[in-house]
Amino acid sequence: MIAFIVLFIAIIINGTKIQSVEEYYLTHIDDITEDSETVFIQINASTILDNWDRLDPVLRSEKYVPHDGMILERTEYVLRPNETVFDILQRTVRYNQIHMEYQGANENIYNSVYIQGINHLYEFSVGPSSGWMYAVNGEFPDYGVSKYVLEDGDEIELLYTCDLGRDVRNEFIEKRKESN
Amino acid sequence: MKMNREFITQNSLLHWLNKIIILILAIFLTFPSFRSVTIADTNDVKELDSDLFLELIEGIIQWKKMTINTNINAPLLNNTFLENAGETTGDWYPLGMGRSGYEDDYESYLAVIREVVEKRYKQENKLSDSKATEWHRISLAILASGGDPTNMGNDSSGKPINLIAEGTYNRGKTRSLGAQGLNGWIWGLITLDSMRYFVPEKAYDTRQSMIIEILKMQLTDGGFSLSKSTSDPDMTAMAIQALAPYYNSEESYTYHQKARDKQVTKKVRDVINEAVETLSELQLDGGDFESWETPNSESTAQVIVALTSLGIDPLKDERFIKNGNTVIHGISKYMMEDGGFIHSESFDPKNPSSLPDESNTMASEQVMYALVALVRYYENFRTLYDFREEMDNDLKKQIESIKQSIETIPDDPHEADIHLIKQIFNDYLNVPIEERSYVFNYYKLADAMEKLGIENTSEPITEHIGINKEGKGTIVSLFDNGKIHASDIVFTENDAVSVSNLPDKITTEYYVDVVTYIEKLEHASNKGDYEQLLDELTDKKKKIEEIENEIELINQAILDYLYPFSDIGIKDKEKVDDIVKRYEALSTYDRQKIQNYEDVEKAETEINSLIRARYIMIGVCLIIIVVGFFYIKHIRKRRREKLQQKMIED
Repeated sequence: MIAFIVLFIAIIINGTKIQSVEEYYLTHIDDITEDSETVFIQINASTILDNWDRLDPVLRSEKYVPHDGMILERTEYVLRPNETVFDILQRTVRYNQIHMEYQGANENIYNSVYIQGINHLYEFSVGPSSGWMYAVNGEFPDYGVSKYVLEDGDEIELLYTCDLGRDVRNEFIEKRKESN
Repeated sequence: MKMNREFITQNSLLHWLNKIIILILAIFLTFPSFRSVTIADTNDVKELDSDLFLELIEGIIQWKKMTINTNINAPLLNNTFLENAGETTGDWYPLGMGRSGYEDDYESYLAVIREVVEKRYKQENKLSDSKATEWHRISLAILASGGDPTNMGNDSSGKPINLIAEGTYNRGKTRSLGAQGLNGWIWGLITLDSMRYFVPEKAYDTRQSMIIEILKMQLTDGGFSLSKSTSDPDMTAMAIQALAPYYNSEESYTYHQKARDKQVTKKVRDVINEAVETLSELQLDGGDFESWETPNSESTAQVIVALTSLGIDPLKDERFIKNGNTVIHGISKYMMEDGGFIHSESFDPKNPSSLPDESNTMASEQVMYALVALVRYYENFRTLYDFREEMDNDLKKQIESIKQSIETIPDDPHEADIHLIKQIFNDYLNVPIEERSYVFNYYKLADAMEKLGIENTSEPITEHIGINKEGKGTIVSLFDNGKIHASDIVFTENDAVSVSNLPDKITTEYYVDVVTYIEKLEHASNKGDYEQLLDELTDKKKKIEEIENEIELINQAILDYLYPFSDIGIKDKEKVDDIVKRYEALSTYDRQKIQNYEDVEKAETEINSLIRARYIMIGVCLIIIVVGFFYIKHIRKRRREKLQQKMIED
């Protein structure tokens, strides 16, 4: 009887952490609650599936290009104040242990972080017109990932292009053709 | 102090603006009749041009210094700046500056870039997996700083690193120069010709193969572009810069032009002529150029470099004056009061970096080297990307005199001119092949010969232009009448004091200092006096490398042990504690290089909370057991008492 009570209490207490407010805030910063602002992110390299013959042979493996091209399915993350696409992307790849290489903002001319490779897929891995692009809510900004400040509900897509964006942003090319 | 600096800038700005106005007037007044102005007249304008351009170049360098909080009189190539050596932002300024001969600390750049190259050569892909332009940019910056890119330290197996071989003619052994597109071929060729490098027989690529790869990509409208089917001024200008040394070549190439999907046979000169025509058509009314529908300073700067590489005077050639505006008018639109230049005047509200009112580092560096190219052209120095020792006066005179005789050939030559033309051609052949590209108006001679059916016996340039296997670039001052930057290094008493002032507990913050002093000491003529200091420095360098390694290991440990965060538990305490301990052993400066340390704090807090919860749980259990024990004892006692009472009552 006593043993049962002890066990019961132990179970209840074991699931409870006794923390100060700061500690609670720190360890729960990325928990999604009703009040939290969130964004969605996905990492998609599916264009490579159509350009397999041009892919660097050492990368022709499901380890680098999953069968459906999705390196990361659409995932929701908490958006902290003033966070950029880069902040979310960096947290995403860390939490999911996905490889990423980038150039710091002061190392390139764009004054912004520049994504060189994700999951070992680099710019030019599929020919001279290939590399990573990003879109937020379907729009392709022409400035770097660390310059784009996100808002609640934004949809981020990291997209691998094999044709300077033409294969991931159709409407853009049509617009350009009209103006030419 | 700050007020003072601003005041000076303002003042010199007024001065510049005045000069620009004078210059504009001068061009405007002389333009309609420039063909008939005497040499004396043009000389006046020329002097004005170069002085003005040199002031603008200095203004850009000073602006750059201000952006990194460096005193105007101190070198730009300091610790802060050199943190980015080997990156785009760290290499183009040394290039532009070195080619102007501005006094700066080029030895420091060379010291740091050698370290950077050696370090990156230890990685699998060396400087880059796919971008050969990493080799090109770094090689050019090394030459501009007076270094030798064919001998940049040693790789991990102890072999000397030859950036030219591995970045140009042998790059294809690892990955095609074209892996990144047209850019790779263009910059590969520019780099190969930077010192007119010799291509060995077993090389993967040759000058011919690289030229043909560029020619193939010419668009139907005559220009070039990275991705579009219509010409882009930047790429067109860069293609011209790469092909310019072959403008006088009589070799014809037969190749498949991709945009036409057709076999064509052309000389480099034909292609360049078409590209120049395209550039002329692309020039805007304001004298500037636009790329991706945005008029901007960089496109204009690239065109200036292209024109000067062909010996076309950008201020006088009618093809490049629109509405009375030259490229100089075009580029002056982008100048800011602080001496820097902006990218574009239009503002994109979504793009916080497209500030139309704040100088931009890329725009400023490109305008700087374009102005350097202009001054080199007007003052008779080699072109921007020709890093060989300057020509001696005899050769300059020889070339100048041939150029003048070519100008005397009538536009419509007759039989009677044959003798004269043959004579001039003979003089042309007396110029060493590798210098013939400087006879900028040779095409007039070649045209006249063709019209009169005179056989052109000039040897193919590609086969004879490669003359150098190694060698340092020379820094020649455009500011100081071609004075050569002294490279004899003396380790001063001041340097010794600075070295002894380095902290005992060294951090990565002092990396640039340490490697610069080592380089200086190793090359100093008084090296022997400071052998002990060299040992000390080498020791410090080793310590810094250990710290860098530790930083890398900690970063990797964080990645390996901390994620996914939901799996963190008491079992990870040891690992997390270890990370914290190692982090705390680092200096404050080095700690900044640990990525996402907040996640470690988060994990630590989580683990501590879990442990606390466990202690509390154990405590509570103990209390329950104790209380329970006494309660049961109490109950039993009462039962016993009740029983006893009952028995007594009974």
